[in-house]
Amino acid sequence: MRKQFIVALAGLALVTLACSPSSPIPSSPTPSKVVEEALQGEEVAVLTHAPQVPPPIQRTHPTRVIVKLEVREHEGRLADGVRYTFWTFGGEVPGMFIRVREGDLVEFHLENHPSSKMPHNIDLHAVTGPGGGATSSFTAPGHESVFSFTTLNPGLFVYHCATAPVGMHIANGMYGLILVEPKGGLPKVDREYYVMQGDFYTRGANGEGGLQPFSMQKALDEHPDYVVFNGSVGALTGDKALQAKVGEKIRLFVGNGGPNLVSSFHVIGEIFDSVFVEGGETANHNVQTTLIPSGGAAITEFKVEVPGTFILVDHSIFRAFNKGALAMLKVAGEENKSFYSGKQDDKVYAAEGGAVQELPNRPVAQASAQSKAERMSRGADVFNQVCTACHQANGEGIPNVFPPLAQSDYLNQDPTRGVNAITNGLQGEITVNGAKFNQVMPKLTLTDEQTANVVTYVLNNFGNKGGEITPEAVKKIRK
Amino acid sequence: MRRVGIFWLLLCLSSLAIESTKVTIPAGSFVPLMGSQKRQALAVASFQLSRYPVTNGEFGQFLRVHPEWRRSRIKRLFAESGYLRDWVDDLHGPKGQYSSPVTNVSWFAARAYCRSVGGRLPSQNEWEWVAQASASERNGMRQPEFRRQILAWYARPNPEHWPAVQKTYRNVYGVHAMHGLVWEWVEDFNSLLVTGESRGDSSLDLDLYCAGGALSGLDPSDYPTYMRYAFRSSLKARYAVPNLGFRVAYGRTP
Amino acid sequence: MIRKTLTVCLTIAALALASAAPLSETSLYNLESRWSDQNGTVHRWADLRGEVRVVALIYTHCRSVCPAIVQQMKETEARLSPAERKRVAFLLVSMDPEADTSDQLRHFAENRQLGPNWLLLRGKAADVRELASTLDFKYRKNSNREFSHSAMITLLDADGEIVDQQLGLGDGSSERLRALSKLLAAPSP
Repeated sequence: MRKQFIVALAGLALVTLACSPSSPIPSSPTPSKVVEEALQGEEVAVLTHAPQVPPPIQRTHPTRVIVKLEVREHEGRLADGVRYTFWTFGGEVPGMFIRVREGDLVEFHLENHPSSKMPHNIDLHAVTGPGGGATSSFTAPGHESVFSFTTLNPGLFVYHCATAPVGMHIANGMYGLILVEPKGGLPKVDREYYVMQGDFYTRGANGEGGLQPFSMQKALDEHPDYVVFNGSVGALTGDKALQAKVGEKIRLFVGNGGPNLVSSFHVIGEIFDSVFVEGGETANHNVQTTLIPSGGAAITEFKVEVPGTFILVDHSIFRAFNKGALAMLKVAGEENKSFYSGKQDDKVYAAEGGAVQELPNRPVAQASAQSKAERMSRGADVFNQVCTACHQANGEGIPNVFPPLAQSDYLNQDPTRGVNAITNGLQGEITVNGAKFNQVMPKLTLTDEQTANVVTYVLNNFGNKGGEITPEAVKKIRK
Repeated sequence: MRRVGIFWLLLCLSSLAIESTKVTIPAGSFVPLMGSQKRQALAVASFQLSRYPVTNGEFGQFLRVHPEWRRSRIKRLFAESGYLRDWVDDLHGPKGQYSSPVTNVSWFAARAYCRSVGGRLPSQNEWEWVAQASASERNGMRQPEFRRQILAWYARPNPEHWPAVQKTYRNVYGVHAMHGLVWEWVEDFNSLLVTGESRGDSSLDLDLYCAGGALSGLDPSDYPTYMRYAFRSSLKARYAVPNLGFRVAYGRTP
Repeated sequence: MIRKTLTVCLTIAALALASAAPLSETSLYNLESRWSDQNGTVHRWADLRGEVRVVALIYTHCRSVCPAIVQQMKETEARLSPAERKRVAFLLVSMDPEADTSDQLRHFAENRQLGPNWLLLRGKAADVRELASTLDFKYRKNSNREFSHSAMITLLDADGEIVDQQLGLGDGSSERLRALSKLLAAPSP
């Protein structure tokens, strides 16, 4: 009976082949649904916590990969002073990064920790099968489910819990990324990082402290209180920022767990050389901001050319600055002034024309500083705006070019020299702290008040001897 | 004669002072979240329900008389290896938790206990009927604050130690801990054909399940109830789950 | 004469020993419920030891999946060799004992031409629930007296251990046959 059936099927296939008209060959690459390679061997997948990513796949054949992922519910920090009960894949939000290869047979173990209150399951967008695995992985607390699937399609895919109510499970942090490398692997880069955006809904307003319960109503209304990268406000800032060096090629695996919001992903100060749109095969180039759907992902690649701190944001900008959708990439290394010079000049800008003009109305004189402390405080502002360009922020100047103000014997011997330099300019050779300087310092257009303030500030900082200069004294010195 | 009278009077008074461990639940009808065709209201006959879930102390006493249900003796068909995992030994529950709800018990063991005290497990409908009640109303599900409270409990992790059953939320019937403590077994926990793949549940996969009658559409706004059904559908009868206990019902099987 | 008696005694002893071998902890036959079949005979699970058994829960007035389940089981039986057929029994347990009386079960067996190695059982509602729970079989009675339930066929070995379970209809026969053949090929204890 079976043999006859097979013969009939074969016959039918042959007939179909003979009769079908020739179809145009698609210009895009054939979808990789036919698995031709043979499985060899077995390995246990290395999973990582964000922002780290497992190392690129080296093998050139598919294999049986054993993935063990544990679900844990626990309280953690959502923002300073704000705590939240997260439901996690692997202990943190986002869930652990899974890296496999096209054609692999994944044996997936979903373990639900005994301390969990809820049952959980998993839907991996990389799975071709009912529920993405969710039907076969529904797991009560203290139990484990096992199911297998073959990775038919390469790409960067989201995974998340699909237990009722799905929105709540996702909103509590149950999402992560699985990368299915294409057969040939991905081109080499210097650094790879894992970043995932999510929106959080709390009973209290943004910033309200304590253990905040999830708000179903806000989730339904799609009004999040927090929109964050990697599970909490500031997860990738300060000393937890992503790191890189000038000249390196960076690849970011960026996911968006939602549950609701679409992300307008942008790195301030960088342009994406390539964006693999929606985590698939199509690459867009020279992109400033890319859309990442909720429950979707994208791969962005760019070379960092200059040092500095580059801010990753969701460019729906209130989310970045007011709700936490902000991360940092700190790039260390040599500056390249031709790529980015930093501030070159800071001039007064008058409303009309290029030359300085008298304004029709006399400017309202600012009230004089009432105390030395106030004088110094105002002087600090002047110093930072005017003096640091040459004398540097630490007052040490530049050897052979600009004399130091720090511990300056020249200044401390006679503080009016500072006033003179500002009000009248200075040229000719001088000796400061044993070193000779012969430059021209232009006359600065500062008022008596400003001059008095800045010199007082300098005298009382940078290891100088102290003292105070009044505007009246400045007036006398001014030629 | 007078002595007899006084005796009876004292007896009556003392029984009033001690709260009965069983509560009579009046008959009623409600539309369950799932399991009703065309969202018809289901009738629930009057029955008695224990005021509290069964405690470690009570279960220990049962085990003294029924050794085949002890951890060291129970057959694997009736309980998986985590059965009473947190008990000190065969007869003693976790230290200091005498009045806390017994957990890590399988459905078979729960049933056996109920039989031993002349009762049974409540049915899903009976349990859900009583669970509708808030502290002030029989139909507490109408009160958004009540639903929020239940959802908030679901979002909090399990406490390290279960409190005593007397120190728990009490509803309008005088029944404690229908919410806020542990999940509870019901007799027909395996009666709903939710697959756990919740997005597909509204249209049954007929290949897997024979639907002689279709189930009702789901009201997605009653999340607490939805989550309870989801939890039950993840269970197997021999499971021992750390936050799953049970209580006893009495009266005719519905 | 003595030899005959001895043979008989030894056979009885051997049989007694065989059935007295303790059941494994996970055998379905640990259940203690009692059931009556289509002829009114009462059975306990322990009595069913000795034969490989194909089991399903159905109800006789089901119009959707149960007929297909029974049909698949019949197909399985047809594809066994006569020798194999002697060692395999088929069991249908009603999830509706109220409607499925002994008479009803007997009519059903006759209509579907179910042979002498088919047992149709009915029992108390609570016992049906217990059996279903043991098999991970889901069912409920709807208000129109129809049942919503899993589609499931279970294969038990001679000692009541669950060896194979098919959930859903699928292309069950081949898988089950493979499992059955494997079971029957194994040396009997």
